[in-house]
Amino acid sequence: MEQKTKFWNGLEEYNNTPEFREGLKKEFQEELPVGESLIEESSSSNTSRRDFLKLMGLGVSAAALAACETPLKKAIPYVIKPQDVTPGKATWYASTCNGCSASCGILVKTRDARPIKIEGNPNSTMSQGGVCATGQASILSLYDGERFRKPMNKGAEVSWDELDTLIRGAAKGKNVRIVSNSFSSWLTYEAYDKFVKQGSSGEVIIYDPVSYAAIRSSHKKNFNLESGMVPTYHFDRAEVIVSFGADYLGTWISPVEFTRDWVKNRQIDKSNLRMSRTIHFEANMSLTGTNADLRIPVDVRNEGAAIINLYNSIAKSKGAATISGREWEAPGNSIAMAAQELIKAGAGKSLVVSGSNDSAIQEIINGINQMLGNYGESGTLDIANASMQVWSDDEAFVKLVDDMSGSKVDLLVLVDVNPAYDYAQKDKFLAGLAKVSNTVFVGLRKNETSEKCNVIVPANHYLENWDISMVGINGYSFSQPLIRPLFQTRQHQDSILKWTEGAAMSYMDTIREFWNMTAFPVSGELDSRSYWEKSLAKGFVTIVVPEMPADAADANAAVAPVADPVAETAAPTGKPMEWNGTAASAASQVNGESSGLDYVLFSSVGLRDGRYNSNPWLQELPDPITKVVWDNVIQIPYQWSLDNNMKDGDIATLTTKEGSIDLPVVVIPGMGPNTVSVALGYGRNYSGLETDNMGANAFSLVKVNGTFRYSGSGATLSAKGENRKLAKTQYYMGYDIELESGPLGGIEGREANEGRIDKHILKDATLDEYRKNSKAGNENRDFHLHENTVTLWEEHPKSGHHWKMVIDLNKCTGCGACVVSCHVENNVPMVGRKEVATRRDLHWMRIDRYFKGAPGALDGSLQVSHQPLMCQHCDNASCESVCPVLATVHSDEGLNQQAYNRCIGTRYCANNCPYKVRRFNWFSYYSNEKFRGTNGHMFEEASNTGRMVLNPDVVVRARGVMEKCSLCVQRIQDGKLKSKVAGRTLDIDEAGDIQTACQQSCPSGAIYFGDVNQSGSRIEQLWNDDRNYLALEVVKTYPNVGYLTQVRNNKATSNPESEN
Amino acid sequence: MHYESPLREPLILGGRTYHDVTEEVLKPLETPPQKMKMWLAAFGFSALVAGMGVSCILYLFFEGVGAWGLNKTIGWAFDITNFVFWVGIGHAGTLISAILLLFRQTWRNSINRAAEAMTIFAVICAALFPLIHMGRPWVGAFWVLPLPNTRGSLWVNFNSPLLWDVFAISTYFSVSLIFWYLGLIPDLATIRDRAKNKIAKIAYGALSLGWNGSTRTWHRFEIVSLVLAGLATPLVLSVHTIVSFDFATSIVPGWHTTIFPPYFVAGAIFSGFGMVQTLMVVTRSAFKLQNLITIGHMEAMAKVVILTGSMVGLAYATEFFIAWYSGNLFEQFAFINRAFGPYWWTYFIMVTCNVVSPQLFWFKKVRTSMTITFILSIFVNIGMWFERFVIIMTSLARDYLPSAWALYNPTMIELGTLIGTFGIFFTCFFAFAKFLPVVNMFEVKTLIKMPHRKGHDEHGSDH
Repeated sequence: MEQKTKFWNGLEEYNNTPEFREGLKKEFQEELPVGESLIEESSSSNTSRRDFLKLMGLGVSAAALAACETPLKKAIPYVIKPQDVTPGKATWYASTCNGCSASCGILVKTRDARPIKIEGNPNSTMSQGGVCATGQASILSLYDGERFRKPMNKGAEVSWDELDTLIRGAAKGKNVRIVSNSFSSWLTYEAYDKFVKQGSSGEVIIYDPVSYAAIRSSHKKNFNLESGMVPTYHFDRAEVIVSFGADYLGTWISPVEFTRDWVKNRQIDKSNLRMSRTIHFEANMSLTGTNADLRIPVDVRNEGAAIINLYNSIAKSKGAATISGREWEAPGNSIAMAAQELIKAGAGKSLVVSGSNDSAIQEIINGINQMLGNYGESGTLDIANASMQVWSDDEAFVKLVDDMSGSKVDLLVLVDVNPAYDYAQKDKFLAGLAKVSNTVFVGLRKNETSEKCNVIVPANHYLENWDISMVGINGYSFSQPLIRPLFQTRQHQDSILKWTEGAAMSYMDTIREFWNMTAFPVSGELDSRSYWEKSLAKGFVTIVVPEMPADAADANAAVAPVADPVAETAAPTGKPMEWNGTAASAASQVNGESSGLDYVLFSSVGLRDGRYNSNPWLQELPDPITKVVWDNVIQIPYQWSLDNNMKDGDIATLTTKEGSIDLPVVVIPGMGPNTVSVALGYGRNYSGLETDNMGANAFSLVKVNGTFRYSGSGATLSAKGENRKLAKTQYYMGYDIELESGPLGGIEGREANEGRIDKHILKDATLDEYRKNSKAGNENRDFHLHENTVTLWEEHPKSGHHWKMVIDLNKCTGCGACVVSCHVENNVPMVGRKEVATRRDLHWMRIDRYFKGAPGALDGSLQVSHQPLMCQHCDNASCESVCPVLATVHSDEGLNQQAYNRCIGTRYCANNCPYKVRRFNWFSYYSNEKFRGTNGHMFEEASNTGRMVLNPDVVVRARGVMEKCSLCVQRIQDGKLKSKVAGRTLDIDEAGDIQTACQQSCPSGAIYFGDVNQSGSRIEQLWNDDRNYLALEVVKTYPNVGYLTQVRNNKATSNPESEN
Repeated sequence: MHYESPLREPLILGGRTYHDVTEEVLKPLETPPQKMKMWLAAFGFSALVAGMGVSCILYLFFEGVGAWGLNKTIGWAFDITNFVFWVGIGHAGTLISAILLLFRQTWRNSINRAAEAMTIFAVICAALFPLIHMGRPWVGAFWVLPLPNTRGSLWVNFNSPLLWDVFAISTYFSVSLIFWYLGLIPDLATIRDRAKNKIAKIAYGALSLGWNGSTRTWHRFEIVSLVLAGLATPLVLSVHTIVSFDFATSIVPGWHTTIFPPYFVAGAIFSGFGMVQTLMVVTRSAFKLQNLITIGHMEAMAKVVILTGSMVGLAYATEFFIAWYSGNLFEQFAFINRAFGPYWWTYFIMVTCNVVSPQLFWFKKVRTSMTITFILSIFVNIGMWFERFVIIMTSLARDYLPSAWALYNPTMIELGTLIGTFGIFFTCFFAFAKFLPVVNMFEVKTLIKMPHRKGHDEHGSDH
């Protein structure tokens, strides 16, 4: 944001007179009495020669000095400083994330009136202070240089007034449709509805490319509701969770909320020995599956049968009627066992979910939950408080496409949707689009759909918007603009309101009016304006509002108030929701075919449904399972890969009835034995990055059968005979597939590495073992750290702060929010596919993923663990002693410091780091043209808006310099300063003065950071916990980062049972 | 029993006189370049290769270290391999010049100048690599020097082996250069005295520092030689020990082992003698100096090769044994990985070239055949290059955390730089061969028994 006006000191400066310019060159305005001191009173010839030389010397040096001027840098301070903008100090505002439709509450850090970092808002009872990787990265799209800057009509720029007149004319009396993704703001829906009702026929269609319509429609059917709904899930109330492929910790509906809730029952220490039990049956290897206590691979073809089996097991125990259909039992009778555990947990204390978008399957799931007594306001499935986070209607969209093809639509407004890319039958959509007379695209940047629309209406980024979202139980999450719109854009709701005749208020006024009319009266506050400002500052308010009074709608009085689309239909009809179970009929629809291969299409953790294809932070976030970046792949089962002789990188064609795509394969142990899977969201055309068309568009394989189906059977996979080198951040998996069949022959990788991982790197134990011995899995720590030590060195005393970090492996899900948060906070460059393939990524923090057990095991004995790794800040660092110029030293507070301006780049420190956490700047990523595509936001050009996202507290490193995690030393210093200024002791527990970026962003709160010298602090307790161990203790680097052993609620692998 | 020890073969064949020696050795200097077609071709070609190497280095400076194939796991590969390779080669020259002088092994007299020249040029090539491998050589070249400054003073890290390298290599280079240059002075005076060309007379005259050949001068000269030899002798052992500390003082499995100092020094002498053999086989036949650099000399060098090669082979075996005996999981895996991992072929080359080929020199037929000696000496150097590559790269590629394991592929720039340094080396050597006497004339003349001339008392050696 530039200062448009320039302040001047005097008229000479304003007029830029020659005298003024002369004066600028002089250091002092008056002449210095130099001559007098040099020339002596007596003017004998001896002294004059000396004086002459002195004067000459002075003259020469003065001339030389004058020539060596440092370049003048202009810093213009405020004459009248705005109250809350202090250069150098950050201001925080609350808002709501719109990275996906979950609407987590966020706090946005702004510096000099521009947002630079997103963090979670603890006030949100829904997201409870968490933000996922996608939310963290969504700030970059605000500064996207390729955003629409001006409204366009048929390729020509138009003014806003012209545009509004045009669309108003096109709407009146015509067939109007508006299509949008799910959103949580009822007021937005009201605006849309009023807009479409102007026409002769008007509909608001909610379209999500990754849809949960089956959950909605199954609840509608099972509870006899007027419209479908998705319940609010309470994972924290569940002691037993059984999931059939629902990735609730990764991407399913509201992953941050679910992670926050799930983690509440995963805490374990000597005083709390109870843990929840999570059982996961799935065909694909998902993030949630890796975190389950017991995970059984189940092919897609057997999924329905498995669920029927569970239903019948529970029904038999409860004496209810069973349903007829094929049943499938998992190895070790896991399903029967799961049934018993679910029943034992008690009513409202268990939860069964499914990731399928097949209504029949969801109906049976509902039936299971109903039998278990899980429905209810105090249970785990709350249908009285429906979730507005996902409410798309697949059938309505299919009907829309039909209407378009039948020329029944005159005006189609598409609000930031992209069916030309992500709709399964996109050709049909495009054909229909051509038949619509007026197509309007409201959105941020160019995409496949906008290219085919007549009118482009630039929209604000969500950080430039006003809104109130309805999330959580009676919760209202506020959005406020963090920055004036960068370009000539308008809030999309304002656009819609402008096109609605009779809508006099702006959207901001609408939501303010709503708040004043409904919440303020019951808030107990005295003044509506201060209540409004308080609510905005808090960001999230929980309040039970009565029905909106009739006259509140007078503001847009021409149009009648609309009914809440996600009906709490108990209210209008007055009847309690009653179960109307029809599981029996559903059962007949679920036993799919079983030919060929099964396939699963899933939403990736970073790119989600493809809307973030242009975001380099998310492209370079490694997929938690495959660790592939900048690409999507076909995940294939281990045994199948051996049988069909396919290895990582081989290009194969996946053909289903819907279509075929070509992609490289990656072998993933633990997939359903006949299932392959592909991530959605890749293969786009308008990312503007090198990623254009990288990967393939898996949406073309989605089936439309009532709802959108993301899994099925009858696929084939055939090798094309080529191989492509994949860009992965981790190749070795815990056992090495190459080693098993390579020249090592009889000596398997596993034997040569016996105990390497579980004794030194990632320690784990089962709950039974932990209950017997709190040091389970961690027995060797004391030996390595305290007993087997002979050292020449004296320990450095740390009398002040001693910073340590502890990561609870029980809580880490592997989601990667910490990784993205670190990149945003520390201005880490993104290097692109080729560099990552050469193993030159710059991720300061990485999440290692290890498999444990036999790769081909199908009985649940195969486990996957995640371990976040960053610089361990070793007290006995191996990197510090070898730097020739002392660019890396140890602070007296325990941090390993990297002095960028001293580093000469010999890379010995990186070689000597046993954790390999140091990163080198191989190129100049902010000026080398090779990286314009991937790291363009850091390029040093005046026109580059992307640079506005850089954190001014952290230097951008030059080429040839080593960098690594600094434990967010800028935040540590900031926290210390804050407490010093406030004159109090530093508060270092959670949510205290200092939180590292990774710690703050972790949705499950797995990362703890603090000062171990402050007695009684949380970190001191954790550091001395029996579960705490250090990575590679045997190397005696004495890291300041500890890990708590991962305890799974599982018995030994051969007979998985739990005692809850 | 009567035992007669065999007469040692004469060191100089063909009944040469002082004059013969002077004429033979100075022939290449006194022939105009136009008449030495082969030399021109060789010099021109190596200069081209050197130019190619320089352009690779310039590209590196402009683009960044990313022009090479290194990555976050493998921070050193070709660069430090080449550095250790070239430094190692240099050690043979110093051993021949200094240690053999102190041991009074007069068979060194005909080969020591060429060997010492080889050392100088090898150290120049070696010193390139620490400079260019840095991320920021434009500051790094100064900041590694412990110069007092106004920033504290901000000193360098005396704990760091890389810094010890700076001291060791600079000491080595300066001492070797002075030793070599001083040893050249009497011969430069000879050339000055014989020079017909005015420029040559002035140039060689300046370089020979007014040498007058008086007894007193000779006396002082001998003392200085011994002193410098005394200074240079420990360098033979210490310099490569310091270089080995780059690895031995780290914690990387496969690097962190106390056998490295003797192992590296033995390896250095091994590869150095290999290179000397390569150069001598070519030089003696190209300049027709077979009578001064005899088969006997070549055999002596071959015997050193057997000795050091066996030491290297023994070191390999010891490493394996200790890895097993230690029970250290990481160390054991490092060696299994070397032999059976993805780079097993580099290990195979290393073992065949370094363990097998020197043993062939036990056979006299092999030692005395110049062709086979030449081929085997090249194998020795190939093997030694791969030894450093195996040690550096495979140990880094798979160390403690399996998640960080990586593979390495060199880029064209790295290969170009390596080949370019050979170009630089040979350009310097060919220039040396043309403009300076490759054989130490005055020392060789000390070995010649001139017929006693009536009327002259024995004055000892004369020139």
